[in-house]
Amino acid sequence: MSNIIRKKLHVFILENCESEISSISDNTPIFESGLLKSIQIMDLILFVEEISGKEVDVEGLKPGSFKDIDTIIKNFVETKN
Amino acid sequence: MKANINTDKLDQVVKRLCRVSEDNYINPFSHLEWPEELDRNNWFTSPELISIEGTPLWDTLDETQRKCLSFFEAVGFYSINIHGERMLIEGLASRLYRKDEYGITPYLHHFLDEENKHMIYFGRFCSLYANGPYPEKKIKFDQEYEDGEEDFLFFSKIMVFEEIVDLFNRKQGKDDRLHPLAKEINWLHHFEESRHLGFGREFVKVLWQSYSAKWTSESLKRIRDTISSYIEATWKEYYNPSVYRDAGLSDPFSIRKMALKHPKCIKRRTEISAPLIQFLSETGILPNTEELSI
Repeated sequence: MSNIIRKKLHVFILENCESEISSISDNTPIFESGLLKSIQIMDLILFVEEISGKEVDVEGLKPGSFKDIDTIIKNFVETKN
Repeated sequence: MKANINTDKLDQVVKRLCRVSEDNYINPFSHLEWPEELDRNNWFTSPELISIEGTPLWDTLDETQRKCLSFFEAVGFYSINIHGERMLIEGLASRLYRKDEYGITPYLHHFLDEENKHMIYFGRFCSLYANGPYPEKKIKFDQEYEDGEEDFLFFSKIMVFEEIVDLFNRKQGKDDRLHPLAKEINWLHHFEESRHLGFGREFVKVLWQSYSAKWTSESLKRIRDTISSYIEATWKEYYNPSVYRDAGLSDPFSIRKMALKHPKCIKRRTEISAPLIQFLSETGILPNTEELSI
């Protein structure tokens, strides 16, 4: 399950970033490295909700919660709620 | 360091708007009547402003389903307002009585007071008749700014948010098809926001003239990109999967994607944004508006 979501996240980020790159790793910083712009956080959150089937409660979250694919999987996919 | 520019017009705007705000003071706790229950067999959003109006999906809905969607779109719209105004209040409060505030503090007091009232209307509707406002799907990122950039972006974003919102309010505040409470909330918001819009445009212009000549071309590009992206992101908030889900529509995320790229929806966004885009173009803030993605 996590692997499918991981792959979908890779595709989403590559499709939505302005840089012309063909691959990223699970540890590539998403916002810090400029792959996505901060203004795209809403799109990313909604995408995570869509593929995980869980609502993301953003209250109290920091940009670091979406640091890279590994962090997203840990915070929003491999959690109980 | 800001440039020395003539702020006579801004001074006049501030004085006039303070007077009008004082003369039209409204008590938010007694002004509206809040029924215990709402008759949901009503329009709460003008049909032409519903996010999926004009799409094939819209054509498949009967009137009851459309009215149901119009209710949740209203909750979504009021939620957008609550979150936008919260950001505004935080930013305005931190700018009160600053040394470089261009004499706007007297009006900031009214601005803050009026935005707080709007949040009371919107929040009460969402809390009484729905499960509260929909949560905001945004996170604040820390950023370093050039001199004047933070203020300019703050007031520009406020202007973008308020100009788009106001067009909805203006139309819906006059729409007799709407439930009286929804119509009145929209009208009240427009009544006070129209003053904020006048102030917003004048102040954004003053900040642009004060600082833009000193920003490097790299900074200018970043600032312009930020405003363009903000317009796009603001519009995306109007396509809320939670709204579609609560209205009983299946596959809400796909509906959002479909509506965002549907020509009828793009046309509606373009028409509503037109006065704002014209202002940004005429002031030189966004010289290449034809490249904007709305």
